[in-house]
Amino acid sequence: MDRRLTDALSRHPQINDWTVRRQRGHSVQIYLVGGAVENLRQVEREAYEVEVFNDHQADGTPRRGSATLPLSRADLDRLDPLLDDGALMASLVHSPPWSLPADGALPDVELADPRLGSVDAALTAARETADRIRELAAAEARHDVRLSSAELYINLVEEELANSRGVTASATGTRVMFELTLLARGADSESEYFGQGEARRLADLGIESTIADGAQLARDKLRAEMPATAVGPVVVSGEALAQMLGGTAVNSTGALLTQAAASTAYSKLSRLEIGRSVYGEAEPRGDALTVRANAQLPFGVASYRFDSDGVGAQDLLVIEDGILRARPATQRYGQYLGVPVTGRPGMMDLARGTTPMADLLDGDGPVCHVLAFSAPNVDVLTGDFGMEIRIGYERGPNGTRPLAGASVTGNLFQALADARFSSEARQYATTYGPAAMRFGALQITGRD
Amino acid sequence: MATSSPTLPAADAAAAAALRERFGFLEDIVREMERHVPYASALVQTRSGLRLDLRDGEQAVNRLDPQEGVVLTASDGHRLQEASGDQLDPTSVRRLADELLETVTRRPASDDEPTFEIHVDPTPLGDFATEVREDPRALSLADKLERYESMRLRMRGLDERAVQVICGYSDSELQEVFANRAGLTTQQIRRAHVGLVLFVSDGTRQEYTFALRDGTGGLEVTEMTDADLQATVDVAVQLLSATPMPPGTYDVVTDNGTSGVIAHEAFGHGMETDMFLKERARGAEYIGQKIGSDLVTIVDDPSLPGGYGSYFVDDEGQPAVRTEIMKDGVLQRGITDLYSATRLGLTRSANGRRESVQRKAYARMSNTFFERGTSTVDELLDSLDGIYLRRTENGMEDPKGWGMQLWNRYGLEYRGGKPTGRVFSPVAMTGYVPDVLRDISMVANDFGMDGGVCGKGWKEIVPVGSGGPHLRTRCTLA
Repeated sequence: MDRRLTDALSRHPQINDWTVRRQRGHSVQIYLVGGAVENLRQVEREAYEVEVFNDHQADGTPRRGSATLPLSRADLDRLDPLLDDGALMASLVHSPPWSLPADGALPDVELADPRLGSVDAALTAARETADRIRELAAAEARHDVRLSSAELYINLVEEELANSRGVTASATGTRVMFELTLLARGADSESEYFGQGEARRLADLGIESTIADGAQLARDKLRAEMPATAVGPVVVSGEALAQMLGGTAVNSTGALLTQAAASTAYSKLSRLEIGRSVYGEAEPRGDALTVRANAQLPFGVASYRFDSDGVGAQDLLVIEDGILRARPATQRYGQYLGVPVTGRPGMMDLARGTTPMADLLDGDGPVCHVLAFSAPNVDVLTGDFGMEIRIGYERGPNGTRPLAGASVTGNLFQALADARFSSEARQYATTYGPAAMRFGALQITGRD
Repeated sequence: MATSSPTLPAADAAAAAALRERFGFLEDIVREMERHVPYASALVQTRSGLRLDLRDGEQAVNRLDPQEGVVLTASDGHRLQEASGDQLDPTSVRRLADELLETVTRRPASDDEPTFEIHVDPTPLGDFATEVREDPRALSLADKLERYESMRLRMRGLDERAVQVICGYSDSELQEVFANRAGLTTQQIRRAHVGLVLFVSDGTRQEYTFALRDGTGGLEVTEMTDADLQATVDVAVQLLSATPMPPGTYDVVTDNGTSGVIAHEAFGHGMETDMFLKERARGAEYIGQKIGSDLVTIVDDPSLPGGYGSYFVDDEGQPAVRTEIMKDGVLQRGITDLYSATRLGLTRSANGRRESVQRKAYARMSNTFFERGTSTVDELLDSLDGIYLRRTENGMEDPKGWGMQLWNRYGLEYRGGKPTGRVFSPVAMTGYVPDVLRDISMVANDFGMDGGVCGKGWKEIVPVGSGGPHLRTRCTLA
């Protein structure tokens, strides 16, 4: 940590507490259009985020104000006016007091791909992976499937944190991101498969299976039909399940953990209460829902060693058998609510069920099986959702046919009351849990 | 909003001169790089600004991440290569340029890589700055806190069923310096935003809605009247008795924001020409063909005065101009970034945008909207047997399959042109884009724009505007 910064913070008379976060990152980015490299990029950035606290009285009440100051490296040469400004900002903000965490033992959490130990290694891996994507996609040409585009990011990140209570911590991690579009050509039309993935390790992206499965889905989409409007059983798996539960790059927390969080409860926006069913008025009729907020899951995208306050990673039981047991609570909101501080939630870790996925897809009548929605769209405050089927299948006694285009609507909390979970598990972005869930009855709106 | 040199106000002219003084060396670096590669450019960005978060029980104030940095672009005539760093002194930028050239020349493109030549308009562009009537920097933080906390509390006090009001305010200034062989251009883009999210409860049910004001400009774009606040409260209270939307196909009238999201999703994303190059956009095959009704004209315009997505020069040096994507129902052209326009041989539009210097430029929308028509809003509603769709929260598109989906906070039922009092919430709208555009039977003469952000897939977030007049069409709701 830059001593100029910590020294200046420590001696500032109006700054009562402080936290400094430093992040140094290198990124290698490759973009493919068709078989050609559109762009090869290398990015380097070092950034600081300083949070300063000022304790004062407002209306006769003790108050603590805070201000966050992201700093560039150049800002380190002109700290005094910036910290003066930050202290003034904090003195004008009147929030209830809370204290920073003190120094303590931090867990070791595996966050880095050993294969990506240097910028040169990342550059080599990115080039090799891009070549592999082109090879794999070219092999699908025999099925009239071709590569439209692909993007690959390899990020190496070093983090440091220090605060005025003596916490000093560091962590090293890697994050890899992958986006792929395949096109399938039919007799008189074309269709596309669009997939994306994020992981800590390159191997966890599953590029081979993504391309193979994506090629099949693109081909099937050529003959996909819009399902009829109906209320019925819906099996949601893979990317679609992560989109529903919220563990995606777009929304890393999702409705379940957002509603459970202490910060939401403090703002009086949580519908959930400790010791009460998370299903609301709905009668539980399916598998019991058990959810952990696990920041220690090895190589989890949302795992960490310490959060932005310096609180060490925990593995917290949040929902057990459909009952809210604990609220994920950051340092501030744990103190505000008087509940244990657990840190930022981390990965959403859901308990598996006992039913093989193949059995979830079985039934007397047709079952709608959704593999991907066009975009995640779950209201984290109400749980209401409405998402268009990007690709799915209708599976039933008369066979299997691909589906696309209709919307699936409902309320997540009510839907979970009547859901069965697969015995197979899968990690997708920030979610780890059942590979599939079968919801008893959801509204599908398609053909009249 | 748009002012450019030599008409810049004195303070903006001084800031532009300071940028030119500090970053004039970029022209030399571009010249040096172009001794080795056929095309080079440089872009420097710095941001400043403030964000407030005010709610019952706590407050927060944060400086915006300056994201200060430079990106250098080089092309060997086959691909682009870029290097980005966060140190802006001449020595560091020169070192970055040397490293980039080393990477470009060390691995020449293979024979099967495409070949292209990037054209640079030699006309120098000058300096630009957003016109601001009430400069956020002139208002102290204490006064800002008082102004927006007061606005929050005014809404909070309008109904006893309010359980929380969250006020988010931000002001920002983006300073950019772009250099290519035509010279140096600078722009100072100022944006302001305020959003009030109101939560109400009747003891058993909680609902919310929100009011937003934003644009390029100063604090003047964040003004909200008591009538605006009351209207938001009235909607939130109405939502406490809302019922789920009965699925089906309906005649609908869309409010300004909903119309804008239709424009954005229908023929915004699908006309971004990087999607043409990737063969992901079906619209590419329909240029010159009639897709929508005669009443439909869709425009993307980064020069729109006050638009949240407005700018003067895109992130690849192209001056902002209005682009008609669809005119009188006929698809006209796409909106371009440098690479796809060059590869496809298209005339460039000013739509090459980056989330930051750490990310590449893509073809992106700016302010996308339907042109206004001749009917009044009352005329659209007068004979409606269907749903008046309000307050779009988000949308998505499928440029290959031409599907789209919007997510609205609520819809009001109309019968015989009169509201029945029934409210549905939330409302998912789906449709096949050509059907929705072909079914547009009336276009109102009003006009409104909303600000927001837009991603490319799930990332690359940039500020955009979308809007237009009220529209009457037909679509599936659930």
